Amino acid sequence: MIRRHGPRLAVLVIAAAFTALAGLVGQAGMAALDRTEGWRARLAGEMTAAIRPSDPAGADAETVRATEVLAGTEGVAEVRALERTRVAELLAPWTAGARGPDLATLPRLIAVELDARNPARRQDLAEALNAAGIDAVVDDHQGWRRTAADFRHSAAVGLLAALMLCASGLAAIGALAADQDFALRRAALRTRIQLGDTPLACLLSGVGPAARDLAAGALVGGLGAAGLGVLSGLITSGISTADLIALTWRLASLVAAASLIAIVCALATAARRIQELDP
Amino acid sequence: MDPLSDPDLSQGTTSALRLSGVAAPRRAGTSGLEGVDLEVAQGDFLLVHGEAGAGKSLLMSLAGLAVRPAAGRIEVLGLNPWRLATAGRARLRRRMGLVFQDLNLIEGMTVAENAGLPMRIAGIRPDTYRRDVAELLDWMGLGDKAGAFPEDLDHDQRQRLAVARAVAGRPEVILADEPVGWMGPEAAGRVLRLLLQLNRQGVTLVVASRNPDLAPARRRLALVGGRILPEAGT
Repeated sequence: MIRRHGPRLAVLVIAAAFTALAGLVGQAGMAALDRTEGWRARLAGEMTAAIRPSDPAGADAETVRATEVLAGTEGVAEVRALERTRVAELLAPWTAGARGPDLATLPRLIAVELDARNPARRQDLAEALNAAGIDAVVDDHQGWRRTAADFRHSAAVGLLAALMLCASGLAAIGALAADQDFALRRAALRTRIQLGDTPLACLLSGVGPAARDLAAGALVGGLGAAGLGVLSGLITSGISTADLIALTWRLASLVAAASLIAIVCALATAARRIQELDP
Repeated sequence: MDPLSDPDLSQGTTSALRLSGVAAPRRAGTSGLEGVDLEVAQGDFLLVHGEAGAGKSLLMSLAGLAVRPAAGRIEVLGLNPWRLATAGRARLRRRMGLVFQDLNLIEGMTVAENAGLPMRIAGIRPDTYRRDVAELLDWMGLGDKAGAFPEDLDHDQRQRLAVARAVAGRPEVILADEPVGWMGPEAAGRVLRLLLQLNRQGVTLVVASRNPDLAPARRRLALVGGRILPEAGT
């Protein structure tokens, strides 16, 4: 029994493994891309004004004034001055962890959330502050956004490479399934060709079992990946109906794509093998 | 009248099979063929005889389009099969009935499915040819084996099944390589009568055998060491 169905079972298991791997890599990769895009969008929708108080004693008052100036600037939605301790945390890499009295000399940071429909430009904020006599530098997060974009690009390349690896695995298992099937039916196919069957008819008449095994493997793998996705979603943040619909859609696409790759490769291999039977 | 003793075998005027300068390399234990020239008219009956290893099966394989010649030209029913596209060659093969020396039965198919395979390949619906196949198997003495698999048959029965399959598709040319070699005298006589009857109806018949007196062929050719000896009529 195992000897007879072993090769078919192996095809099914390997197809399932590659599909599950593709599904998990796809889910993780898409999550990373979504997260990075969210990060980049948030950075693009905000700017940070660094106030350099001329007198540490009047720093609080100058910060409040800068906050009012920025809030009154066109294209600004919300302004929020950061706590001194929070500033110290943010600047720790550059201040070697300043503590106590040193905190007074640190610049004060103001987070500026821009109006999404009509966002203010960096120059607008800098000019408004300068016009009010406040010494400040406005950072539009260009550097961070570039970092986020670079990270997203790297994540996309990594995702693509991993998916291509899975696709290659599925293609290889498709070819293997076709080869196995061909080895079993070689004599029968040769006879059919000699009796006048066309290679195409032989191909279509015989590809069914291999295609079924590959599609079943892809379905099992897709369900496995979806199950792990649901489980991880439940553990982390819960699963909504919309999430489930999206997951189902992704699962169907994954299974269809995996089956397609494997079956097309199986067909191509079988076609080549059958063609060889016609001298 | 017994077809075996009927001298009035049909003869045609158009070439059913033509080999010009055909050569094929030797295969294990057999001679290759060199410069074979052969023409078989439509409706003719040719018996090719020779010792084992003389090249009969290779000649039949070439004529049956199972092997491509290394040199020379082959025409079947006026067409050069090796210049046809794959689909055209497949259509030409459907006009031929082959009895292979190693029978080439499909083990996963029943006796009835094996016999009906040429018609299935030709795209005929099974319910259309099922009755014909049953009658043919009855004639071959395999009526009670229709649902069996080839592995359940003895060699005599397998050979009868191979002949049944070759004639089932009503071919224009039948090429039979030792078609009755393993059969008992009664079964062999029955099969040869069937082949001769088809020949009388206009089917071209080429039979290869070690026995030069196997059947009353209109033409006989001796094959020795891959070469055809001068022809002798009967």
